[in-house]
Amino acid sequence: MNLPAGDGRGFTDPVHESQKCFRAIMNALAHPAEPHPFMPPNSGCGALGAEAAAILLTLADFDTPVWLGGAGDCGEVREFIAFQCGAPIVADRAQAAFALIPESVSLAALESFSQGEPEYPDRAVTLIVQVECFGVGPWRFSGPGLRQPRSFSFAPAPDDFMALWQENSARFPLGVDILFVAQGLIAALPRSLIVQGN
Amino acid sequence: MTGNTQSALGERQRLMKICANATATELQAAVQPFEAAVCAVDIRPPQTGLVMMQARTGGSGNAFNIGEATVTRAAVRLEGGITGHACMLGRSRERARLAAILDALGQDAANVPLLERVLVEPVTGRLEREAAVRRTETAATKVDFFTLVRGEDS
Amino acid sequence: MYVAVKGGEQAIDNAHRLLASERRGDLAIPELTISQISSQLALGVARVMCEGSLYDPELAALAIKQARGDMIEAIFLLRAYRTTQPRLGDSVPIDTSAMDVRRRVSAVFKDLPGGQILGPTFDYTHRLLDPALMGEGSPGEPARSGDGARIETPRVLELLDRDGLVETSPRDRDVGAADDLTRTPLEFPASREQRLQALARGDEGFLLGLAYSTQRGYGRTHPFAGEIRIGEVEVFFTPPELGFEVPLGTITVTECEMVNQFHGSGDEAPRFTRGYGCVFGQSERKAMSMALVDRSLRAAELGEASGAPAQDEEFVLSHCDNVQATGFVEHLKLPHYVDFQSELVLLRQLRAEWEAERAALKTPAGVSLREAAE
Repeated sequence: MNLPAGDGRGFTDPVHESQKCFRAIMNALAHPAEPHPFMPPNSGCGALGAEAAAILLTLADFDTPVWLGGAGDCGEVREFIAFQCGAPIVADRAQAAFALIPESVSLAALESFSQGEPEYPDRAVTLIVQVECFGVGPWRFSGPGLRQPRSFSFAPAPDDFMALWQENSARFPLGVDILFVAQGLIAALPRSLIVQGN
Repeated sequence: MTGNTQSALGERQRLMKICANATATELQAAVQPFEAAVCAVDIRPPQTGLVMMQARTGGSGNAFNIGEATVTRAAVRLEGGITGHACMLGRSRERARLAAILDALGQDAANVPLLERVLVEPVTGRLEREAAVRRTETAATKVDFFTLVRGEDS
Repeated sequence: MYVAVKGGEQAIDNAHRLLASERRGDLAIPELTISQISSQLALGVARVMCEGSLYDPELAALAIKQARGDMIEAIFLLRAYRTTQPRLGDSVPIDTSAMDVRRRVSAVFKDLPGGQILGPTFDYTHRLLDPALMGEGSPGEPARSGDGARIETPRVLELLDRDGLVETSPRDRDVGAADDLTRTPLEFPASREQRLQALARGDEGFLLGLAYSTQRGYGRTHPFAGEIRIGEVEVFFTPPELGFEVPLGTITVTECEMVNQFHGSGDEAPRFTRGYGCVFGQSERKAMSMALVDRSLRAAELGEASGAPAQDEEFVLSHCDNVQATGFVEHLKLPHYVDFQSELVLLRQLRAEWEAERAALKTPAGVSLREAAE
């Protein structure tokens, strides 16, 4: 097989770099609906940006099937994940523990991913969604981790995102969690958040 | 897969098997004559992890897990661009990296005759001698029990 | 429930220093080396690898040294180590029929292809302490015979299988993460594959006791040791980035196949059933116990009367892990001050009430009250 050349570099110090990234991801989940700085040391490859790659390098391994959406499903990204994470790539999105959505506008059909089981809600998918930028409004999120409702948005977003998220919240404690990444930034929407229009 | 690549793969596996059973000293000695080995670049620095060992119910039925084993793997790239991989039982980072270099060297047909002399022959020779000792010791404990006829069976 | 406590750091530190010094013992006596342990206490190392669920003789020997020979503590150390390591994948299932055998015996057929090979066994020893081992010395060379070629040993149960006299082991499902107890919590009823994993890492003493109970009548299955083999098998693994099988080296395993009482139904002719055991290292007693318990846990599947402890999978699987067991039993020594205080308060209150009631019954007023109530 062809191995990733200069591009597609993983962690050089896996223990400490993955700990740092883990901390950033945890922080984003603890303070949800808010962009946080995220400067991973690795590079991306192809449609997989450095930030999304860092999340996979930190969280994905042999035990976590990964589903690749859109332009993410290419030989380059597959090889990166096989070599750097050792994670299996699955064609069936319902089997994925992590799913890469390289373009946020194509975010759809959240219910088609694994929602977890009543005994094990943790078995739901975590979506890794690449966005161009974050902003405020038009949605207000409230829930654990937010003292007051918080205004948050990302672009480009699908038109029906609010409806998608309302359906997702309605399935709580089941449902998907989303990690959004933009260049140098990470933000999280855990399924426990409720959305309202402004 | 064509017959040609099949046999190339078989050849790679044969060298990997020898490396997996070789000592660090043997691997060092095997790498030594190759100048290309000096500038091998790590694409995966040696890393230790676990592989779950599986067995089959009744020896041939469904697989089940018996427990994990420590395994160390490494990957290198030689100057010409050939990449070499190694994955072997144990935690020796040194052995894994040397084996990855040898895997890369073995993929170049020009290196094969020398590898045969510095790696294959000495290591296989040692392994065969050790196995022969173990097997002759084992064979000496082969037993023929006599079933005694019991009185009431006569 | 135990409670968090603070303080005591100095005492804890000193206790650990004392432990380290006790472990080393008399400095005038040479210290044990890891290679001494792994080569001369090899069966102890095998047990630690087997129940520690990690094949690494060097680390198992280190664990035994660090645990001062306390096997369950050593097993605990190895289990703790494995949680720190990344999982690279699953091996290709080992082929035990290709084993380079060190020992191979069958209690059901006297003459079998490859022969009966005793190997390094304690069987037929007189169990007399050997005073010669009090000192140092060489045991002498082992005997040798033959040309050193690999001894081919086809599986004994295949001989029965050829005539359809023994059930075949089904090969109808792929083992996945859902079957791996280290990945997915055990749920009941468990698959046979999950049960075998739990038994493979289960406590030797617990499984031995259960196996013995089945022989004594608690879920009787009339077992015969069809075959026991010990030796080296080659392990293969397919790294995701390579996509072909890579030989990793060899591991020593012990395998036991038990042949059990025949079983039949309206549709099926009577035939022998099987129990299976396969463990790391030379661990014959463990492999045999595993095979007996595996078979007894199949009671419901085979339509046998059940109810004995060794047939109850929830009982067996929930209690066979000695790290879990020691954790829960030994946690009782941790501070339970608050728990106990509340029990104490409750007990004092109950006693006060009891005494007050008794005092009331004894007084004339109490008597009259009672009479009035009646």
